[in-house]
Amino acid sequence: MSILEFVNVDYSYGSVPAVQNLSFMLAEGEVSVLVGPSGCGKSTTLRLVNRLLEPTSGTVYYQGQPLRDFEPEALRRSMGYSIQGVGLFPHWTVAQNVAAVPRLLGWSPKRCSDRTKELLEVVGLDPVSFCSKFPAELSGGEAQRVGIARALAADPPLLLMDEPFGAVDVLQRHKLQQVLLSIQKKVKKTILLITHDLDEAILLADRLLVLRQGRIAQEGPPAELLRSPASDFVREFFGLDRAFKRLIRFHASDFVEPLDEESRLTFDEGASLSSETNLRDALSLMLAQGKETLLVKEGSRILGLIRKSSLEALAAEEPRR
Amino acid sequence: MIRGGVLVVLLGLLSVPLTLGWILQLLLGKASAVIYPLEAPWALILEHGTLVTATTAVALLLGTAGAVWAYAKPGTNTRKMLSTTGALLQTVPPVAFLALAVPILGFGSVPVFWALVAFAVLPIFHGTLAALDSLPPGIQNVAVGLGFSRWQRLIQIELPLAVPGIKAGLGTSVMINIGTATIGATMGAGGLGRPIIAGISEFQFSYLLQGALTAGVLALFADWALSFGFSFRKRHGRYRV
Repeated sequence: MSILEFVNVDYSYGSVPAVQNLSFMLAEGEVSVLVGPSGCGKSTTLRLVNRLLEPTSGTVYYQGQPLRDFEPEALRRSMGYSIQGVGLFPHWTVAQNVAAVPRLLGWSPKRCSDRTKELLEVVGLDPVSFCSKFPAELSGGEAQRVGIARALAADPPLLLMDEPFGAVDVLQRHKLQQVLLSIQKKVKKTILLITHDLDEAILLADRLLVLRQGRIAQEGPPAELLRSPASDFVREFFGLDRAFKRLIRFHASDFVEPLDEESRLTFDEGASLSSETNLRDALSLMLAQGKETLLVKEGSRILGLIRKSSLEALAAEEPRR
Repeated sequence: MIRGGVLVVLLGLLSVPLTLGWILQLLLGKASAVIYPLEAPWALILEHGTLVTATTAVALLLGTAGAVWAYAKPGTNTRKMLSTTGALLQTVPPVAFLALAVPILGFGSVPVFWALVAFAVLPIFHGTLAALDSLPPGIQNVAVGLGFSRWQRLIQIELPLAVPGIKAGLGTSVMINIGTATIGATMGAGGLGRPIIAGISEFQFSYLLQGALTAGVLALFADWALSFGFSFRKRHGRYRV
């Protein structure tokens, strides 16, 4: 039994179809990311999950039961919700914002405040200094982290995120993506996430669902979609730099090869990178320096080397059929 | 704070016959300075203040309730109708309004009370509705998405955020009310209208000045008291927008 399943769902805004015959299943404990061009129905799909919209036909199943069997408010309280631009309540402190859903659920004040402190730490904010701040006093990145904490507060089985990192600058986005990945490592929530940033989607997704005009064009792990796109649309959707996109999820440490003593001596220090560097950046370094191999280090310790040929093999595409 | 202190002192001076006499003499010269005899100055202020407070309180209740109801009604037609009716009623001159109320409700404090309430409701209704309408829709969507019921959303999120608008409406309402309440004297109500009306009909400018001046100071005082009261709440961190 999957936690969320769409079966032949249709939704139209008046006479304009937004979602057509949509069927998919979310696997538990996985991050599923909806991507697609503007107007493909991503936001609509998300809103169908927490009953902000009702399907014109078809059924959505949550924990095996049809959505319409659930009372809307109770349903929403059991799903974490984080949207673009955050939407923190300006008249409440950070602590009150984070504890919003737990308070609705009737948790005791002590339980609420313990949970708030725990979550603020998880998202990388010091509870002592942040609990009594107001949203107006937070930077964009801090506010977004509070938004994530708020979505997680009641420990929901399913998390819905609509462009959760959309409103911040690139540097903050990378940090927040790492925050999410580290949370996932610990807690393994089922997440349905929408983003228009393809790199973000590839980085975060366990499963990617590419939507086109309200239908699924292809779904599966990002590596699979990048390696064998099912149609020209999907192939072109990933863009001309899809070869590089294939490298995003991997780090230098994934492809490091051991070094023999002789080779170690011939390496110059400049031609090295840290084991955490993602492979796209690694390739970029190799091209910049004109090198076929680079040294991989962890701190000051040498782990081994990495070859450009390994990266090329990874980036290669299956020939068009 | 200083402003408030000055106004309180001024009110005090206007309420005691001795000091009131001095002020009138200062403005009109010894010969023309006559204090309204039928009621003590402080009694007039008290009556006026009570009338304004009571009618504003009722207006606040009715106005906010009405605005919340209009806001919750999805149909914009109902809202437009209420808005237009309200605006229309506000153009009716107070005297005319009262004159129309008398055949229905009779003479004296009761019709004046309800007429004042009717006038006071309008700015509060408008202010509250405008504040609620101008809430960012993103906030409301988030509240719904998180699982707030309609009622919870209203009480915990929407109304608290609308308070600045409500406060503005309330301020306007009180100002209008203090002025309109003076006209109540023509219909048999008490308050600072009595010396004003008496002054007009008996050609005693001094009575008129007493009533009008006191009403003016009272209005300034009410304005200060309201902003002080609200900033007190804000400073103690109840909320911050």
